Amino acid sequence: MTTPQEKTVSKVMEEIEKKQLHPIPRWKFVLKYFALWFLGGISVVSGAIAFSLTLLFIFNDDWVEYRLLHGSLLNAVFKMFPFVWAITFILFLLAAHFAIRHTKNGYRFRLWSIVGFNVALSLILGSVLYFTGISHWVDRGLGKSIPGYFPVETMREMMWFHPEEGRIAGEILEMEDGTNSFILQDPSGKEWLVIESSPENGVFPDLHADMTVGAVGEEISEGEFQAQRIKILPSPEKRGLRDGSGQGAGHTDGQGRVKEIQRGVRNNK
Amino acid sequence: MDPKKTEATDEELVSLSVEKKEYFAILMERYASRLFRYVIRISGVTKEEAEDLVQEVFIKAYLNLNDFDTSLRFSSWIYRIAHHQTISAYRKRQVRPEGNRIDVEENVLHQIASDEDIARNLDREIQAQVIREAIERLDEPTREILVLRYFEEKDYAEIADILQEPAGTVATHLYRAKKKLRILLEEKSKS
Repeated sequence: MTTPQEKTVSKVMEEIEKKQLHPIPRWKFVLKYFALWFLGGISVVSGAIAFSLTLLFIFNDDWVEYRLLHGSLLNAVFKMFPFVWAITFILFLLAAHFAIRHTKNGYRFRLWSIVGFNVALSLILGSVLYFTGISHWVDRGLGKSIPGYFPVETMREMMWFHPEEGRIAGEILEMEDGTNSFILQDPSGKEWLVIESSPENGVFPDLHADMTVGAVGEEISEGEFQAQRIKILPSPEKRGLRDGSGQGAGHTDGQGRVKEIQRGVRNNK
Repeated sequence: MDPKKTEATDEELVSLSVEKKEYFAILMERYASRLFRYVIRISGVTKEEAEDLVQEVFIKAYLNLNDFDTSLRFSSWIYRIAHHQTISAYRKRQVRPEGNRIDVEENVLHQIASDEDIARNLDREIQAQVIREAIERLDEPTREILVLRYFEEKDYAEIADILQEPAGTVATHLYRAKKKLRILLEEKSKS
């Protein structure tokens, strides 16, 4: 009489024989674990890039200015915090966790240790990417290749270029010593006479021709702008935004850039 | 088959089974009864269903022999497959517990009783009945961790490898499982 144990063994052996079963080749498992580690690695690197772009937006936007322009810090945070990059960073963290958890020994680590390790690695790598300028390069590259994506510099100009809301930005073309006014050319090529309304209060920085500035005030007549505050902005040439002709990088003309900026503003709203 | 091979370790037999399936039969002989009991204990399926499940476990193990992690014990690996297969069948087929699946053996009784004051104070026969009923009332993950610890006599590291959880998590789950069991045993002793 056969025991249940013997019955099970013979049934399994019969099935192996009948269905001609063979162990799955080792290379398939090697490939599977390689894919998981690769996914984990890619996720950590992508998370780091997302984190570096989060840093780029946080450190390069004019938070203080935006707060002054819009009143509330909460509003400024809501409008300017790079939620997309922050969420992308979290998604890549989850992907890395999934990948590592499914490797052979991934289960031996606690959730917090895997997540903590991934976060630490992404933060270190992300900071390196930010401080070496690679995140700027990636940001600009994305701006050129993804329609509707606005690099941090574009976002800054979008924030400043709202004549109807009392904000203009551009390059100082002429400035005479001893006067309180200058000629400013905005990104569309339009020239503005900017009059400093109260230079004696000391809020205006030292200005000279070729500087890129943003001005807050009001349009008093066509082409004339009375500025209450002026802020020096990083030069577009230094930021690689414009070519030698003063046009936006990656754009055919200044007007196109203005249109893009305006479209971006509408989308943002 | 070389009769000496039957004295080979499980791990050696895994390597041999990849080349020659007859060696896999030796592994199956070693584990069939244990897995059969384990499957019944954690799921409460009928004997027939348990037999089918154990067969599926062996087929799956055979197909995945090349994925066997040599840093593990074979017993942990095969129990892990049995755990997944049983849980999966339990969910897919909605198998229903049959009852009386927990066979409380003397050594198990001693183990649990030594941990739980309540059980220790009871008469031996009543102890067996009370513990059996209490364990059967536990939810599936709680029951499984107790089964692995007391019935299959696995240590924390092995349980961690079987359930694929960190050893610290296993310790926490086992602590909670024992706490739940203690509450049930207290209720039983009062009634």
